[in-house]
Amino acid sequence: MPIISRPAWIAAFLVLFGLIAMLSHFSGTTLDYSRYNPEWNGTSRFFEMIGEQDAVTITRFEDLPSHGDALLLMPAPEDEYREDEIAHLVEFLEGGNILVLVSDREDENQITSALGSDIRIQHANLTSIDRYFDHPSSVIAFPAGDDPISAGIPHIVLNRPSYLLGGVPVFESSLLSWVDADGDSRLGSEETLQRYTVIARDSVGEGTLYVIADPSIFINGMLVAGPGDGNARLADNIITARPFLIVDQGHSRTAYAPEMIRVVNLFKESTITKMALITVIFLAASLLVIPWRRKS
Amino acid sequence: MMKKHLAISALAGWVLLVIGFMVLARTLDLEIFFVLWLIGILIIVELVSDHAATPRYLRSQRLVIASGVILFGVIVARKILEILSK
Amino acid sequence: MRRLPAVLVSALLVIGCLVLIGMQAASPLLYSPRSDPGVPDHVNPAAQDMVTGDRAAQVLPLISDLLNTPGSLVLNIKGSDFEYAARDLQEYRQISRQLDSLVINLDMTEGELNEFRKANQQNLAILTELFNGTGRWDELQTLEIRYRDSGDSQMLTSITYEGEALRRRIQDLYRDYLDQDQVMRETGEKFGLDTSSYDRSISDFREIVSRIDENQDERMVTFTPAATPGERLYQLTLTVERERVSYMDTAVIRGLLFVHEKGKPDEVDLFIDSRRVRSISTNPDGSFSYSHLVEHDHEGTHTVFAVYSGSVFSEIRTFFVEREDTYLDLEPPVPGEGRVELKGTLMAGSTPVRSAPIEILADGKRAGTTYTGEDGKFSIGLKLSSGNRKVKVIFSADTFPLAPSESAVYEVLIPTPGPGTGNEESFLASPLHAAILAASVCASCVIAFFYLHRRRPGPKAPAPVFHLPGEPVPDPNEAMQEVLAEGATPAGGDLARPGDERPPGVDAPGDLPSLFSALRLAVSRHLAFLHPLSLTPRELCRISRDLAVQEAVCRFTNGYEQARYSGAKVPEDELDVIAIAASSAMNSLEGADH
Repeated sequence: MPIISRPAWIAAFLVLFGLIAMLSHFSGTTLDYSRYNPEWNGTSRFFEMIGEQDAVTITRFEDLPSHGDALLLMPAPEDEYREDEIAHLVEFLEGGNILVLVSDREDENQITSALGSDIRIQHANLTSIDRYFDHPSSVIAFPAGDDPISAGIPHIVLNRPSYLLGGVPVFESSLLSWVDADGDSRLGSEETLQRYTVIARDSVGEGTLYVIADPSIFINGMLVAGPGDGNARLADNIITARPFLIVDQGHSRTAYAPEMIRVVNLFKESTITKMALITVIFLAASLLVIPWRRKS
Repeated sequence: MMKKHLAISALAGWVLLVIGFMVLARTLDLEIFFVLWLIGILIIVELVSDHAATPRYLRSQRLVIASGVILFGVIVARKILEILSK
Repeated sequence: MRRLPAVLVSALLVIGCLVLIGMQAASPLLYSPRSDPGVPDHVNPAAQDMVTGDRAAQVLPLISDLLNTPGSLVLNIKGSDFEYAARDLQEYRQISRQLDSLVINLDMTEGELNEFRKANQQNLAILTELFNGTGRWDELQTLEIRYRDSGDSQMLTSITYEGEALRRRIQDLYRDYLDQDQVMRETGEKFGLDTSSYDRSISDFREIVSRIDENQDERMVTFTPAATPGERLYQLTLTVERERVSYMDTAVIRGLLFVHEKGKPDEVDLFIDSRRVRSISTNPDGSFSYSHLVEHDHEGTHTVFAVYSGSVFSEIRTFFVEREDTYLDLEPPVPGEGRVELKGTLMAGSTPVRSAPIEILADGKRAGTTYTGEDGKFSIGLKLSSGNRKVKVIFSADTFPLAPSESAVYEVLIPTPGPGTGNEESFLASPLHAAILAASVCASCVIAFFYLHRRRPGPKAPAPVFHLPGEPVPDPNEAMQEVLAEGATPAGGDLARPGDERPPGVDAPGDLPSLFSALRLAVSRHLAFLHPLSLTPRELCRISRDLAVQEAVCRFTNGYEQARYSGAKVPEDELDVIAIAASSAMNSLEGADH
C-alpha cells in the first residue's frame, strides 16, 4: 500500500472534522425544553443533574414503584393523560410518595383535580416590580412558610410564570405583583397588587403533591440566574428529596427530539455500540499506520 | 509546493479557529469574520512571498487582498455611520 | 485538461459562497443573543440586562412613613406646638414628593398605588390648610383678648366673624380628611402596615374641630349685641338667595342698609370667607345686591357678611357650594409624523368649563398640558416618539368645585418621521453620510494601490568603486601580496583535507583561489560589475573580453581551472606562469584605473 501523502492527510482530517461537526449538529436540537438542547432554552443541564442521581426514566405509569420513598417528576407535560394513567398516579401518591408537577398550562388542572387536590393552575401574565432582569416577566419569588424543598433558598427567579390557586403556598411572589391582563406590562387601574403563589403543595393520601407554575425555571439559561443560584438549589432540593428519583418522559416536552437524535443518542447511550465504534476506529488507524512503518 | 500547502492549511486553520470562537461566543457576525479573514490572509501572503519575487500562485491573491481592503473601507464607513446615528 | 473539472467545481463553489454571503451582506450580524429574544414561554436571559437599583424595596417604607407622619403632625397642631408642627409638615411634604417620583419611576401611575398617592396629596393639602388655619385661630385668640381689654368692639366683631369663617372652613377640612380615610387604611392593611397612628390623627383632628367649635360658640354668644328696645337687631341685613349652589351658578346676595351716616358714602363692603370682595353702592332706599359667580370657590361652606363704614356689621350668612361631576370628552386623535393632534371638550353637566387645565398622558406619563377656552374646548399638538402609544387626557379639578375626570384611552400609531435616522438602506440620504463613505472608499483604494505596487527592499548590492583623482588608492600589488601571503598558509590549511598528504613539489593550491578572488574583484571593479562573487573563471574570462588584459586574464583562468578542478597535479612552472599572468593583469588594470 502506498504511503499516504500529506495532502491526503489534511483532506482526511478536514473530512473527519466535518463529520464530527455534523454529528454534534444532529445530536443537539433547538426545541424548547428539550433535554437534548444545550442552548439557553433547553434542559440539558437539568437532566445532567438528574443523571447524577441515577434517576429512572419511565414512559408508562404502570412501571411506577409502590414503595413509599420515591419522587416522580413530571416536567412540562404536553399531552392529555388517560384515566388509567391518572389512577396509577393516585395509587403512587397514596403510597406515600411525592409527585412534582411542573407546568404553566391550565390543562394540567385535569391531573390535580383527578388527584383530589384543590390546587389549580391559572395561566396568566404574572408581573412584578420585584424582578431580576429588566423585563417585566422576570419575577422573583420568595419562600412562604416552611417546606423541605424551599430550605436554604432566599429567592428564585421565574420567567413568564403563571400562578396557582389553592394548596399550601411554598413560594410566593412579593406584594408588588399583579396579573397583567391588558398586556401593557404596567400596573393598570383594573389590576390589583397582591401576593401570588407560584409553588404550592397539597397532601393526597399519604403522599405529597407539589405544583410548580413555571417550567422555565429549569431551562439552562435560568438555572444559574439570580444571585445565589436559587433556581439550581431548588432543582437540587427537588432531585435529592427522596432516594428514588423517577422522571416521566412519556408526556413531557423535555423528551422532544427529532428522530435523528433518538438514533444518535441511542448510539451514545448504549455501551456495546460505543465499544464497537472504538474498535472500528482502532482498526482504521492501524490500517493507516502499518504501511507507513513498513515502507521505512 | 510545500510552502503553498502550508499557506493554504494555515489560512484554513485560521478561518476555522475564528468560526469556532464565534460559535462558542454565540455571536455570528459577518463583518468581524471578514476583517479577521483579511488580516489572516494578509499575514500569510506576506510570510510566504519572498523579498525578491512573489510566487506564481500568490500573484492573483494580491488582487484579492486589494479588493478586500476596499471592502474593509466600506465596512469602516458603515460602522462610523452607525455610531454617528446613535 | 485534467485540471478543468477541478477548476470548474472550485469556481462554482466560490461563486456559490459569495452569493450566500452577499445575501446576508445587508445585515451582517447573523446571530447574537439579542436577536434571539425569546419564545412565548420564556425570555432569553442572556439577552436581558439586569435591573439596577432596588426600587421595590423603597415602596413599603415610604407608605409606612406617609401613614405615620399625619399622626404626629395633627398631634402637634392640637397641642399648638407650631414649631414642631411646621417641621412635621415639611417632612411630610418631602416624603410625599418622594412617593410621587417613585410612582412615576416604577411606571405605576395608573394602579392602586396611584390612588394612595392622590389621597396622600389631598391629605397634604388639607393638613397644610389646617396648620395655617389653626395658626390664624391662635392669633385671633390673642387679638381677641387685646381688643376686649381695649374695648374695641369693631375689631371684636371682625374677629368673631373671621373666626366664624375659619370654623366653617376647618369643619369642611375635617370632612374632606375623612374622605381619604378609606383608601389610606385599605392600602395600609394590604401592605401589612400599622395604621394606628393614622387613626389617632383622625381623632385628634376631631378634637381640634370640636375645640374650635366650642370657642367660636362662646365668642358668638358674647358677641350677640344687646337689643335696644325699639331698634332693630341689625342695622344691616343680608340674605343669600340660594343656600346651595354649584359651578357657574350665581349666588345672589341681597341686603338692606337701615342706617345712614352723614358725610359717608353709601357703600357697603362685602366679605366672602373673611375676604373683602366688593364695595357695593346702595340704592337710595338702602338696598343693595351682588351676584357672585361660583367658579373657583372650593366645595363646602362659605361665609358672607357685609360691613358698613367699618362699624356696622351684618349677620353672617352661609352658602354651600356643591361639587358637580364633569365629563371630559376626547375626540379620536389624529396622528402625524412624530406628533399627534388632540381635541376635546370639558363639560360640567351642560355647562362648559372654561380655563381649566387639561393634562395629556401618553403611556401613563405626562406629555403636555393645555387649557380649555371659553367654550370648554381644547386642542393641542403634541410631539411623541413613534410607535403604538396609549393616549388620554385628565382633568384634576384642583381649584374648581368639580369632580376630576378622565377621558377614554385611545391607542394611536405614530409613524416614524421620515428618513435620515441612520437607516442602513439609505446611506446616501444625507451628504455627510455620502462624504464619509466616499472618503473611506478613497482611502482604502489608495492603500490597496500602494500595496499592489510597492517594492520590497532586498539586501544592498555593493556599490561600484570609482576612485577620484588625488585619493590614495589601495595598492593592488600590496593587496595581492597580502592576499598571497595570507592565502599561502591559512587558505592552504583550510583547503587541504586533514590527513591528506600533499605530494612535494606542488605549490599549495591555496595561492590560486586567492589570486582568483583578487583578480575577479579587480576586474569587476573595473567593469562596474555588481556581483563579482558570482563569476566563475570562464565567465571572468568572458567578461574581460573587451579589456586589454583579456589575454592575461584568460590565461590565468584557464590555468586556474585546470589546477583547481581537474584534480591532476600541475607542474610548478605552470603555476608560476599563471600567477605572473594574474599579477600582470592586475597591474595593468591598476594602471588603467589611474
